Amino acid sequence: MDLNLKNIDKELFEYIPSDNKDLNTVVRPSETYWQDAWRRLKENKVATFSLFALILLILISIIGPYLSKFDYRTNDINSLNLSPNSEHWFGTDELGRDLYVRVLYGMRISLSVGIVSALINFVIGVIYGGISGYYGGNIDNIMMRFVDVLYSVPTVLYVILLMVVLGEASLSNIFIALGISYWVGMARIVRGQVLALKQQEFVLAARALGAKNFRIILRHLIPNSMGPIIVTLMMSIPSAIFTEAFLSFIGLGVSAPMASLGVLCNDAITTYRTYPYQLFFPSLAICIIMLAFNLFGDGLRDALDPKMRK
Amino acid sequence: MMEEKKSQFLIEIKNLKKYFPVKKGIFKTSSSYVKAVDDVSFEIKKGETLGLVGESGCGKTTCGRTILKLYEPTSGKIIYDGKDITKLSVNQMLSYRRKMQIIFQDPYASLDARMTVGDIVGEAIDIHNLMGKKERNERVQYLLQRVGLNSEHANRYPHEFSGGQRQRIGIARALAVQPEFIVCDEPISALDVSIQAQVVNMLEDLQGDLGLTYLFIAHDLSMVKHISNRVGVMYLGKLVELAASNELYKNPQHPYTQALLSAIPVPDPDMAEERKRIILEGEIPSPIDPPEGCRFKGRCRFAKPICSKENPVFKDLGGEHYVACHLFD
Repeated sequence: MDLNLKNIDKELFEYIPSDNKDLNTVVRPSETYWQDAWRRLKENKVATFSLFALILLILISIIGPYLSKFDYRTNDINSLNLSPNSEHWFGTDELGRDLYVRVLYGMRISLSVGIVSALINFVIGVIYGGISGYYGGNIDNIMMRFVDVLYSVPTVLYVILLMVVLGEASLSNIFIALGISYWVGMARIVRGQVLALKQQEFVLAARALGAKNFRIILRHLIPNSMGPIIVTLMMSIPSAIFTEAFLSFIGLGVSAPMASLGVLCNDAITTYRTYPYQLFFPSLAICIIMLAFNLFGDGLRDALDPKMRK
Repeated sequence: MMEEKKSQFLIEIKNLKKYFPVKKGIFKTSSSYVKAVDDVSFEIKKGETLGLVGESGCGKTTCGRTILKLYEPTSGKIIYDGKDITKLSVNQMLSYRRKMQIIFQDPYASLDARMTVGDIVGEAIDIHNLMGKKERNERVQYLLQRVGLNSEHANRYPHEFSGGQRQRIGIARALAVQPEFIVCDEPISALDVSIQAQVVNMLEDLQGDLGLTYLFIAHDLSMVKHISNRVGVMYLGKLVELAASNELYKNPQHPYTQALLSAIPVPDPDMAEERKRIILEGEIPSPIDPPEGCRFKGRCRFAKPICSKENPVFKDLGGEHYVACHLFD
C-alpha cells in the first residue's frame, strides 16, 4: 500500500501534554547488588543445580546418620565386610562398622573442615590484605614479601609440616593447619582490590567527610571487594576439603574412631580388590562434594562479576 | 585597617606546594618530583566564588584537594578563618571537615556503589554523630529535596540514577555537614550541557541561600566566568594570573591567559571570524622537575632571555589584578 505522508489520519495520534512530568522519577524497581547477582545465578542451571546438591549434601550429612540404627564407632564382630544390603545400606567395613553412617559422618567432617578453614582464611586474609593494600608503601612491601615466601612453599608440604609440629592429629589441629596456610591467596586478592579501590573518588569523599581509616576499610573498601572475596572463599572450600582428604589418606588426618572421607578411602585401599564398595562410596562422596563446590563457585563468579564471564 | 582586611578572608593559601615523589629503581628511591602545585598563594573571601582554570594536568585538582588536606601539603600554609590548619592531625581536622567540603568531577566514581543514597548522604551525620536515627533520616530526605531529588530516592542505589542526578547526590552529601566552604572540583565537566546549566544554577542558589564560599575548579572558561567573582589561571603548577572575573576576561595580561581566552568558542560566526585565535606552539612541558625560570617560556610569544633565568614574581598591577610575568617588570 502506498503510504502518503500527507494523508495520515490525525485520529491515530493522541495528544499527551508534556507538562507535569517529573523527570526525576526512577521507575525501575530497586535492585541491590546481591539481588542482581542472585538473578544471574538463577539463570545458570549448572550452578543452581550445584547449589541444591550442596544444600542436600549438608542436610544429609546432618540428618542422615539419625536415619540409621547404627552409629559410626560400634564394632559388630558378626557382620564384618558385609556387602551393601537392606540393613547396612553401604555395607560394613573390616571391623563391622556401618559404612553408610561412616560415610555420612566423614562427609560431615569434610564439609566442616572446608567451611571452618575457609572462614579462618577469610578473616586472616581480609584483615592482612586489607591492611597491606590500604596502607601501601613499605608496610605493603614487607607484608607482601612475607606472603611471597609463604606462597613459594607448596601448601601441602606446609600443612604436613604443621600437622607434624602440632602433634596430635585432631580436628581442631586440621582447622589450624589449613586455616593458617590457605589465607595467602585471599590476602593477595583483597590487597589487589583494596589497592584499586582506595584511589577511587568515593574513598576521598569519605575522607573529606572525616571518616577514619578503620571506617573506610570496613564500610567502603571491603563491601566493594566482597564479590571477589566470596568467589575466592567458595573456591578455597573444595581445596581445603581435598587437602584434608589427602592428609587423612596419608595418615595425618583425624584419628580413629572418627572418620573423614580420606580416612575411609585409606582404610579401604588395602582391600579394594575384594571389597570395592568400601572404596567406592567415600570416593564418590568426595567427587560429588568437590564437583558441586567447584561448579557453584564458577557460577558464583559469573554472577558476581559478569565482566569476567567468557 | 590591616586587621579588618584579614577577617574578610575565609581561606588564605600561602606558598602552597605539593610534590609527588617519582619512584624509580629497585630501592624505590625518589630522585625527582612531580611538582603538581608549586608555590601557589591566594585568598578566598567569605561568600565569594573563586574560579580556578587551566588545562589538564596543571594542578587545579591537586590544589583543591590539598587545601582540604586530602593530600598532605609538601610545604606552605593553609589558613582557614584565621587559623592555620596545615599541621593539624586527623583528629584535630575533624571539626574542620564539617566546614570544608568537596564536590567531585566524576559522579560515577565518587559515589560508593554498595551504599544506598540515604547512607551516602547520611554518612557525614553518622561519622560526626550529629543526630539520632529519626532526625538523620528526615535530614537526608530534606537534603535530597533541596537538591531537586525525591525523598523516596534514599533507599535506592547510585547505579539507578543518571549522571546529573548522581552529581546532585554528591552535592547533597557535601551539604549534609552544613559546610561554609566547598571545593567544586569540575562538578559539571562530566555532565551534558543542559544538565550543566541546572547544576550550576543550583550551586548558585545554594550559595545565595546558605552563604557558601566556593572554589570552583573547571576548564570550561565561559562557565567559570558566569559563576565566579574572581578567576585564577594556573599553568603547570603555578598561578599565573588572578583577577576579578570581568577584568580577567576583558583585559587578560598574561600571554597564557590571552591564548586560553582566545580559545573560547564564540556563538556568532561573524564575530568569530573577526577574532584572532592565539594558537600555542609546542606541548605542555612535563611537571617532573620543570626547568628554572618561567614555566611558560617555551610556548610564549614574548619570551625574553630573563624568562629562562628567573622565576617571575606574582605582582599586583593595580585593582587586585595579579600576574606573574616578566613583561610587567
